[in-house]
Amino acid sequence: MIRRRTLWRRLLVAGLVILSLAVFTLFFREQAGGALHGAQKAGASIMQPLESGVSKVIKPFRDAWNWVGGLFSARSENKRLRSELDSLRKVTTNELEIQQENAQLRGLLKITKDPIYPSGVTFVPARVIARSTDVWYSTVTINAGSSQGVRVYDAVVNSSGLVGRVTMVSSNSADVTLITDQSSWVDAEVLPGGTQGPTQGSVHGSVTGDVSMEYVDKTAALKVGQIVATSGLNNSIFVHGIPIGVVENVGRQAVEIYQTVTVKPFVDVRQLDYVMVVHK
Amino acid sequence: MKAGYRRAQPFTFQGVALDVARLAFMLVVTVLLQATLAPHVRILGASPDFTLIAVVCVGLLRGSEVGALFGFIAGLCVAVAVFGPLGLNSLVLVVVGYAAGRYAETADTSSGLAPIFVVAVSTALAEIMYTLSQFLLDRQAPFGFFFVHALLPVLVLNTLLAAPGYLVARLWLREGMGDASRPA
Repeated sequence: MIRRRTLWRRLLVAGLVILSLAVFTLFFREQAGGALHGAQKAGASIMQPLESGVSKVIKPFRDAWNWVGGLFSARSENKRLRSELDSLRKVTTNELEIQQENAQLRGLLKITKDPIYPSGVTFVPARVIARSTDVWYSTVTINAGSSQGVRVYDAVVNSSGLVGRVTMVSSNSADVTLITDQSSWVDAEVLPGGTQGPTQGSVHGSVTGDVSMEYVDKTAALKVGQIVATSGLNNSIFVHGIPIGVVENVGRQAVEIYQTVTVKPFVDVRQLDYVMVVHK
Repeated sequence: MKAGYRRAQPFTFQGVALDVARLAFMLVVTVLLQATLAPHVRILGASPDFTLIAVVCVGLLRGSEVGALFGFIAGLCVAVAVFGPLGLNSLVLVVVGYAAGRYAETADTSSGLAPIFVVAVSTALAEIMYTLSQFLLDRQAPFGFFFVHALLPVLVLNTLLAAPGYLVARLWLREGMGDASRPA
């Protein structure tokens, strides 16, 4: 009796193992639409309503479990999210910087194709690496010097217009005196001119940062909004036609020989980054 | 909680039918819990194996034959419920159910720690069998990864759930053929 029972038990287990192996093998060998796959799908469709029901019933327990689990992980998750936010901020900042840089470089590239620059003029791109920190000087330092072909008195421009001129050069850097500096004088003209031609003058900076156009003929009828550009006269260091700014205010006084014109520069000297040195 | 296998009482039709009904109900509940609750109870990156615990409990309480049969059907049902490969779970659970049953039939299981021990050993055995089968299916994982992410968490979880699981199973299957919960 015992031997028969043992035999039966062994046969049963062996049969179940063989059956499992057979099902397992057939399941992997048959096509996706085979009999076993079909049976599985049919079984799943029968069990699906039950699973949905049970899932709804245990949802509160599941939520409670998740809530408790969430408490344990909240601190680490908070830390992780903060670090993720920091890295995303860095990425965003980098992205914005790259976009800005791209726009500036595209602007610089346009300068080289500008017809106002005669043939033979060479361009040296540079980046502002330092700026004067006191109110008395309005200068910046660029990362291009004599090694790159920069010379004293070269004009410095960006995509907005005239920036200033090179006043000191070392091998790999140069000092640029901006048009807002009180020592800066630029021969300029107001466009469009009248029948007598454009009105001439000299654009001059000041310690306050205001830019004015001096030595302007008192009889010239200037209007706010007219363009001020380099005149290129008298063998000027600047080529003709580099935009400087717009007329912001015109002042005439009876006792003065010249009228005073306030100019609003196109270039925002506080936000200089990429510039182009123009060597005549 | 005392474990202890006792040879089945003489069969009666009513007793067998009642026991089959109890086992069937236990099977359905276990499979549904495995399909719906287990994926959400994640500790150390692993989920408990309710089915394995149930098969071990049935093996301990009803013997190797019922344990193996219960394991086979439970394996098929779980594979259907979670769209797993048919046959693999069955193969593993047949072995687990049979081994648990044989342990109950041959060893002294009067100690309350017996179900915990059997569940722990069965879990390790099952995980090794799953891993071997995956290896045969050309899916490989480094041993360290298998140990830390597969074996260890499930082993801990299943061992923790073994005692309450066995208690519930013993209460549910307290009567019927081959009741092993009554001391011999």
